[in-house]
Amino acid sequence: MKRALFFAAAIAACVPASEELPPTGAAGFVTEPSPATRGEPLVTIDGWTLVFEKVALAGDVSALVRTSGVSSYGRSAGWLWDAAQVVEIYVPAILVGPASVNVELRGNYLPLSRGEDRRRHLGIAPELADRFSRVPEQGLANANDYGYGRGPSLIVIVRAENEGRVKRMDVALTSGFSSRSALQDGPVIDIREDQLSVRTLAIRVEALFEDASGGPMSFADFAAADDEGNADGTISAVELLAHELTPKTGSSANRSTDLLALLSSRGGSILAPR
Amino acid sequence: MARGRRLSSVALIAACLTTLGEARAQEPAAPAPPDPKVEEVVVLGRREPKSPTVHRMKRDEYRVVPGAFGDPFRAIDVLPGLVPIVSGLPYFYIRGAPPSAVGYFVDDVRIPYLYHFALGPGVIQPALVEEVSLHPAAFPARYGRYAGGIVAGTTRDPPSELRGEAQIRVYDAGGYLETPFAGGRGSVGAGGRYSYTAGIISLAAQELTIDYRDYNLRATYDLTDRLRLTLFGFGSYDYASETERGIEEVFFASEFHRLDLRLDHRARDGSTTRVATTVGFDRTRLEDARFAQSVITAARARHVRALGNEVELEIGADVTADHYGGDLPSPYAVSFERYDQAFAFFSPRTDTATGAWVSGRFRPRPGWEITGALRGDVFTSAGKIALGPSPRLGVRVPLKKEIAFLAALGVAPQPPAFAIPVPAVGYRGLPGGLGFAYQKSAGAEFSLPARFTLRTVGFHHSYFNLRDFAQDRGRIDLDEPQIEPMSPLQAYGLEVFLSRKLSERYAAFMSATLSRAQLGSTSSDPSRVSPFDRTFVFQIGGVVDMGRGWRTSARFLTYGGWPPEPDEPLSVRLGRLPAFARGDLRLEKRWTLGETGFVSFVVEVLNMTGSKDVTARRCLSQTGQCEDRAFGPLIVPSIGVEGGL
Repeated sequence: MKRALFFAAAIAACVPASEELPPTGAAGFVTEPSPATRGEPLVTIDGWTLVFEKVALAGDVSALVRTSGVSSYGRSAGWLWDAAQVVEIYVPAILVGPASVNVELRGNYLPLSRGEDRRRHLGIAPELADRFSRVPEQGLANANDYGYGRGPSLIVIVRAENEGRVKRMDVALTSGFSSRSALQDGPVIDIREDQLSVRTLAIRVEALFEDASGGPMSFADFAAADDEGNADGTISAVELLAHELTPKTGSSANRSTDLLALLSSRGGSILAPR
Repeated sequence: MARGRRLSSVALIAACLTTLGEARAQEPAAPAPPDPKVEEVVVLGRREPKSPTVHRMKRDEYRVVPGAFGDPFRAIDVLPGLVPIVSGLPYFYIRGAPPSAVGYFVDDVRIPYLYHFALGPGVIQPALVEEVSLHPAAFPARYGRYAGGIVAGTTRDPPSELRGEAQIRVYDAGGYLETPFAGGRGSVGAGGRYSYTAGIISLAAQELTIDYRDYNLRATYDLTDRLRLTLFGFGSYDYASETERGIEEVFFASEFHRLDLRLDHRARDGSTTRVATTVGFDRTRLEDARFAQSVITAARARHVRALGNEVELEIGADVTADHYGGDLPSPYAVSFERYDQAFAFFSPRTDTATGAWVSGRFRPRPGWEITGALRGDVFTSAGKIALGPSPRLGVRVPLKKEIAFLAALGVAPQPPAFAIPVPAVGYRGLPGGLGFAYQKSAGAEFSLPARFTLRTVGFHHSYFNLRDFAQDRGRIDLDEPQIEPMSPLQAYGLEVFLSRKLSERYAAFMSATLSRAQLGSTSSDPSRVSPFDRTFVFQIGGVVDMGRGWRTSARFLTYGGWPPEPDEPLSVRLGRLPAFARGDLRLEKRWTLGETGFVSFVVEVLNMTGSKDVTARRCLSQTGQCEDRAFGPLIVPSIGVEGGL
């Protein structure tokens, strides 16, 4: 059958058939990184000066196109981008008309087959992009019995300094949350032919160090994770995993957690579509 | 008294003689005979190199090949080494090389294709073509940048008197007329073809539209007895579409144009020089009414000189620049993959290819021919550069009077090329680098009784980094923006060609190709048969001049089926697809007009047997049953009138 397709193309066309296509455009976001996300120093309440050297995100932009009546169809596109830069992330080839659009951090199912990662890259160095396709040192999130699970969706490299003490944290986090309802109920934008219709997407990486209520930032626990580990000045994911938090400092008042889980749970909050 | 009478007689005779002499002296002198008129007769001939690899067909041969419709470029499919993809379509694998690796030239001018869309005729009027040659390996040094084969057409020399031909067929009409001027120093010719298939096809399939046209123009002028200027222009247009529910879907819409200006010099010592420049324009319609286009500018020069009686030297160089441009879609309106594909093929850029060569031909004895060539090409595209060396060697050595040994070796580089030749479509940035072919062949040629010739050649060609739809594991992907280079491919086999010149009153030919094309065959890439491999291609045919202007020719063609698709276990169990066989017939009645004129009525049928070509097999795992899917029958009748001066 495949050869039949081949020579049918040989007879008919080897370039795409030349029909008039329905008008289409794109929907998505233009990012608005915060000063801290762009690498400007940020001082925590406990005196640590943080500089985010690199923040890379993996996410899916989704669009829900409203056709006639109650029918609709959805499309999505995956992106890897440098959070410090102002970029456009979008879903192309959407029929003109009203659509809802949203974005969520999402890692690929790992391990990937060769050539399976079809996400678009914006401003990401190849070696950094490659980390999104590798199992992080702490393992995959929610891996199933066959060893498949979600890979990283957020890579943060931050340098922290306080009274001569220097710490560096380099972690790949698996974050993400389903925003299906948010997609359906999100603002509607108008898709125009051959154009990109956007919403603004604020990116605040500092939200990783804020509590759920947006309370002041603290870095002491993270520094302590390294001190309790090998104290080499680099805070690893394994050290974060080993540092348990008591309920009063955890993201939940009802159960203990670890720093890695805390960061992962906060991952989605760094994105704020407007 | 007697003595006196004798004296008187003598005196009388002497007096008569004297009188006669005086009378003669007084008559006017007879005119001297005129000086004999000396007519200069110039005999022009083309010394044909006895290349061990080339197959040639002359005018009087290709016109009678059944199923070729008088077209020189279709007639070559009787030659060995060509493995058809589907019966009737002018796309071939030549010794395993895919269609993208075959180069087409007319008078050394590169063109994207030789035939009109699908089953259309050639783009050059047959009246203009002197010879068509197929070079499957170790091509002449002036040809390069293709790893598969070269199909080259050579136009006829300008006429010394008015000449022309015309054809009117059921679905198209064409002709070419050429005449000398300025006392024979110059000539000018024009011709073309126009199809009215749209009207014909609409009677049977109203939703289909097929249209094609072409034109050929040529003007020559002898600046001196040894210096000729030639302007050669030609072009082609094709359009095919289907209209469904009021929406027209264009299958194929393409055009190309070439204008070649060349200067040929023939020195007194027999050396020849050609300097030429070519401009061209290609355009292909894409989806959503966008276009891809390219402007071609090229120049070439070569000099051929004899060094003594046994050695001939050729040096040359050429450069081609393809200025690509196209209508890119909005990156917001199409999927990422489609935009990547469009950008890969149609983004504005200039690709160049520069080549230089030196070639030597050594003929130490009659019948001997040893040709060595060294060619190199430099390719550039979007900042990438690649170098492609191309050494070649061809040997023809007579072993006995009737037997000659043939051998050829060659390396042929090629830049990345789209799987099927389409104007104005090419890869940006030389992705994956150059492809290479390593060509090896050896065989023998026998001169048989009754002017038959038998040529048998065994070959082994290896290809690396070429592009074809037949990829790894037989996977065929039509949507990849940059199809990855094919697995290494090797093709080996035997070609047998038995023929008597088709221009003879009774002629026959038999062509057989036994071959195997294999992908992989490396330590990391296991060997498997190419999805388009055909174990055999066999043809036999003949031409008979029955007298009184009647001439008939017939051909029987058969070839083996494709291998089963490896991911269909049921199909694998059944083995290869069925073989294909068809018959072609041509019948001509010619009336002679004057010394050189003629009118012919020609009836020709391709696939008169109505055979179908099995191209796929569909198996249902639930039932365990398989069903062969066939293409066709593709029967092409042609009824027409031809005339010539």
